[in-house]
Amino acid sequence: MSEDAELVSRIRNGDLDAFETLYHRYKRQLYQAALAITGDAGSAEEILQDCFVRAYGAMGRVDTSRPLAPWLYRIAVNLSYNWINRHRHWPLSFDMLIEHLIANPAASPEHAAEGSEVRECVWEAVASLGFKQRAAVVLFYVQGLSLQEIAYILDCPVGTVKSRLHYACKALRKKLSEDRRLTGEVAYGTS
Amino acid sequence: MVPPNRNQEDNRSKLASEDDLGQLIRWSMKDSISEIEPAADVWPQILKRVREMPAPARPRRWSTKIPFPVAPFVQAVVVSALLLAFGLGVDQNTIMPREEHRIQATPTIHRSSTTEALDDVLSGYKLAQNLRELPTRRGGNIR
Repeated sequence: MSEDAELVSRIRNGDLDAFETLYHRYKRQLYQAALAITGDAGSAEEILQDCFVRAYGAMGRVDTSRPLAPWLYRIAVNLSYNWINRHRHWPLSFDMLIEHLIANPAASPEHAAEGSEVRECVWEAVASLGFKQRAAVVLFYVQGLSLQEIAYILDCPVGTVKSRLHYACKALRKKLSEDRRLTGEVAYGTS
Repeated sequence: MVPPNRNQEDNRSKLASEDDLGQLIRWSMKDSISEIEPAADVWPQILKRVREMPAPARPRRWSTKIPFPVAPFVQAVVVSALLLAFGLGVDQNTIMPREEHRIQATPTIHRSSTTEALDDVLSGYKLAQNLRELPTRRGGNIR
C-alpha cells in the first residue's frame, strides 16, 4: 500500500491530520501549476483551496490503486480552466507578479535585468497561448509530468497532448522570435 | 557509415530547437516559481471548510462492483416477464372466440376494373344490335 493510499484510507476514517499531511505534500506543485496557468497568485491560492476541499469531498471515490498526484492535478487544472473562463484576460498585477517572480538577488544587476526581461518575454508568450496549449506546456515543461499523466489530467489522448505541445512550441518560437526585447541569441526558431 | 539525409538533419535541428525552447521555458518559468509556496493561511481556510463538510464515505463495494454477472440476470428477468405477459394475455378466448362473439362477415361485391370492362363489351354489343335493327337503304325500296 503506497503512502498516499494509506493517507487516503485514514482521511476516509475522518483523520484530518492525514489530510493535512496530504496537503503539505502536494500544496507547492499544485499551487505552482495553478500560478503558471492563471498568472495570478491570489487566484492560484483560491484554486489550491478549492482543489483540496473538492478532493476531500471526493475522497470516498478516489481509486487508491493509482497515483494520487495526477488526480489532484486534474482537479486543479479544471479549476484553473474555470478561472480562465471567468477572467478572459491576464490580471492587472501581471507585471508585478513577473517582477516578484524573476527577481534574483544573487545575480549581478546587469544579468538580473537581462534575465528578467527574457523571463518576462517567455511568461508573456506562454500567457498568449490558449488554455489547452498553455496547460500542456506548464504540465510538461514546468511540472515535468509525463505525456500519459498529462493526457489523464487534460482528459485527452496522448497524441493530442503531443500535438498541443508541438503547436504550442511553434507558436512560442514565433512569438519569441518576433519579440524585439530579445536578443538574437535567445530568439529561437528564426531559421 | 551512412550520412544522415536532409530530413534527419531537419528533424535533429527541430528537436534541438524544441529542447532549447524547453530549456528556456524551464529556466524562465520553473526556476522563477520553484521556491514559491502558497500563503500560510490557506490551510486554516481549507480546514475550516472541510470541518463543515461530512466525513468522506468509504466507497461502497456494491455500487462499483457487483459480485455476480448482471447481464445474464437482466436478460433472464426480461425474457421471463415477456413469457409471463404472453401467458396471461393469451387464453383460449383470445385465440378462438366463442360462437356468440364471432362476427359474421357479410360478402360484398366490389366493382372492379374487370366488371367495368365487361360492361363496356356488353354496351358495345347492344349498340351493334341496335344498328342492325335500323332500316337500311337498298335501292330505294323504302316502303
